[in-house]
Amino acid sequence: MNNILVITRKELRHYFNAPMAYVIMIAFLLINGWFFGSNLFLNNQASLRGYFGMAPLILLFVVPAFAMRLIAEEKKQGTLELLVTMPITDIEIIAGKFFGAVTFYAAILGLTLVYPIVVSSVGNLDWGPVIGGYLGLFFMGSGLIAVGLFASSLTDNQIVAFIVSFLLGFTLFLLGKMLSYAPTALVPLLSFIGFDSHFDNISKGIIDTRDLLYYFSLIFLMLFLGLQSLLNRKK
Amino acid sequence: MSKKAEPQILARVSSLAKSFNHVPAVKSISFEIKRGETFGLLGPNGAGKTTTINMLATYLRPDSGDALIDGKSVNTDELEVKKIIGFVPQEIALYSDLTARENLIFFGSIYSQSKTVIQERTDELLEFVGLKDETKKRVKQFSGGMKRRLNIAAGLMNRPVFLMMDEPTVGIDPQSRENIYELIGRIKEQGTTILYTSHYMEEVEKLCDTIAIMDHGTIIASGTLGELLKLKKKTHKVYRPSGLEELFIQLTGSHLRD
Repeated sequence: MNNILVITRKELRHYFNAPMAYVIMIAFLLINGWFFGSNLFLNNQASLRGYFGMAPLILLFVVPAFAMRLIAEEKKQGTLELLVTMPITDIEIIAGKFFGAVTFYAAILGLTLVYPIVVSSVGNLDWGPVIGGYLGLFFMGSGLIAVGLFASSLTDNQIVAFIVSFLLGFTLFLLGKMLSYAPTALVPLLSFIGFDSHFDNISKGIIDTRDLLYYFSLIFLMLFLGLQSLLNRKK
Repeated sequence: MSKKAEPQILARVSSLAKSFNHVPAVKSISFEIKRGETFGLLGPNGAGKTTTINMLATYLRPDSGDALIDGKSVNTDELEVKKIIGFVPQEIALYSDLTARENLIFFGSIYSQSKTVIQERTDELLEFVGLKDETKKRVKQFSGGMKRRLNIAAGLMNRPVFLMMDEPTVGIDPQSRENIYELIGRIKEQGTTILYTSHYMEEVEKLCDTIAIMDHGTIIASGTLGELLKLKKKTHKVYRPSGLEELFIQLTGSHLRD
């Protein structure tokens, strides 16, 4: 447990020391701010529908951008070779990195809480869907971080890690959007694998165990694959 | 009551073998390293030195055979082995965005030591490697020699009984190399057993008590420098080598290795 915390803290220090993280953070806030602002001021609605509608798509780009370095950078600068000869297990490395990235993501997400605060000050805001929306974004982002960590474990090239992570995330995103084109027999399966239905349910405030199970399974599967990829060096 | 004597052999390598994609890199090698000695593994590129050291450092899993380090097996007691070894990899392995101090504190914290112990050890090592005045600089601003010295410090954070150094003088200027030789001499004086790989004859001659020459994944000769210089290779025209370099070329041939 101590080692997981050590890695988590190092990841957080790295994120907050690097200009790249601030660029990502500002880009996320600016793009989401645009969709939030246009809905609020152009449509004159006290809701966050515009923000929650676009945020999942933006996450597909933003999450791989900060997750791509998780393992790939360690491989590139040779620190993985040193780290794994110290009394730390590969599971602790994976878990520490995952929690570090999730904490960083939660901090970015936390900054957007200014949107509901602004809306609630100018109109009557229904907080149920807001809390649901944030939970949905948190789980979806965590799933994408796990995907990014797996992609990052495959290579020492961060650009390759970004592309693989984006493609995997985009596929999961697209599956839910393409259901009307899919054979009827496959619809339930594709709907379960895709992000869409799970995010929609949670963002409506419906906390269904199937949706939680989906996100936890996705995270577990991707972290497991990342671990196997890391252990592959020993062969 | 007298303290129980420690075994004289610190590392015992038995029939260690490793292949990559069915190509053997290390072919069933065996050797022993005495406590407190500096053991040099000398060989041309591709001889299997790095694969051997990576197996002893638990980075790679042997296909067969075992190595016991202070009685602990690299196959079955991996975490225990990791606690007592120090490793200085061939490539610089440091976080370039962190300072020298932050790097050492991070590596030290993996050994579950208290904050005070880590701080003290960090200060001690920064002074030891001559980087006491550079603690606020980020590693990316360091020269090659400074990075090498910090890399050695990282490998010493847990006061290892067995330090493995894989070609730690590659790519640095002669002054920095001399400085690293001096550091290794001081590490040795502290009683640390060292496994040192290199393809530079002069540093192995200068630093190592026992030398094993590796080629094509096997150990083709081993002993002290004096013992090695008495060797005559039966398959070659017999003549006594005048130095380690001459012996090395006699044993491994003069064709290029890439």
